Amino acid sequence: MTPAHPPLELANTGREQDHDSVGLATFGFWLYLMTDCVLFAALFATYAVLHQNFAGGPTGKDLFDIPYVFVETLCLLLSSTSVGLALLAMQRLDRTRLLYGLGLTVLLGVGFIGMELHEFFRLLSAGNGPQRSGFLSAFFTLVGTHGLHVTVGLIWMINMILQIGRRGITLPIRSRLIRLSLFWHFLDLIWIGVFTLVYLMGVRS
Amino acid sequence: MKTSAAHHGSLRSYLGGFAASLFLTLASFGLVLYGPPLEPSFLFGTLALLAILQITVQIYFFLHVDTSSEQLWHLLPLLYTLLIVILLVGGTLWIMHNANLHMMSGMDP
Repeated sequence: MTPAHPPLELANTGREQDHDSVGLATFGFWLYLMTDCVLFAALFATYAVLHQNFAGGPTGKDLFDIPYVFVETLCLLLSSTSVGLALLAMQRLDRTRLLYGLGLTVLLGVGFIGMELHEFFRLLSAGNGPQRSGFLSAFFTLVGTHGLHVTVGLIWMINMILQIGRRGITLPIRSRLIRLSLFWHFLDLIWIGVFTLVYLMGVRS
Repeated sequence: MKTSAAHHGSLRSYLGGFAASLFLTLASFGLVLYGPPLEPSFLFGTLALLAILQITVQIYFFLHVDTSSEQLWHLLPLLYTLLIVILLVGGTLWIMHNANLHMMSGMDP
């Protein structure tokens, strides 16, 4: 192992310190993402325990539209790729492409959230809200928490677009964009668990 | 900036990650929509495997976490979190399954 690893060393000075602070902030944000992972694990476990408690109500087979979920999945996967491409543009200090990349990511994210809200309203208006059964309570909690994270990510991203417009690609902005991209990739990781466990297994059990 | 995970990315890694993820997503959805009527345990096992594969692909290609020494500080918390997640989910299912069995045994004739 090389002795390269500085996230716990703070004693550097000058430019070196700027770069270290980016690494340190990234590391701290990484630890937050890990705790978020544990939060989602608890919600996945709750769903796994309650997924058969239909209370005489509808099952996953009655409610879930798999091709619809596929389009949602595609939106999120494309947005995870486009935020990566935006980050490459950021490293080249290419402001136009960075803004295009973030803009495209926001559009795809809004598409995803719009589809999810539409699904929720469809369920709610048919009387299949979280109060209907244990299964639906767990479903809304898990999928809703993920959707809330995506919404927060979207607000963050729009805020970053405005900041880039005002200040350009400065070091603090690059540091924030690195953390935002980690957050966004992480939400796509969680979604893989959601579409597999909730939707795909839900229509077959 | 050896510690920033996002700094190891390249066009190749993002496009490669996208292609592999798309393939695995198509495989999962295709299996459920158009696949043969499989034994549920076999189907669920395959779907879980495809999901784990896709998560691994995205951690490597999108989050750029690998086993290099630069990434050690990202990899170790990730592995520790994996342990916690396995304990949390596995432990919950185990306990609730047992509780279910004991509750049912009194009620079923």
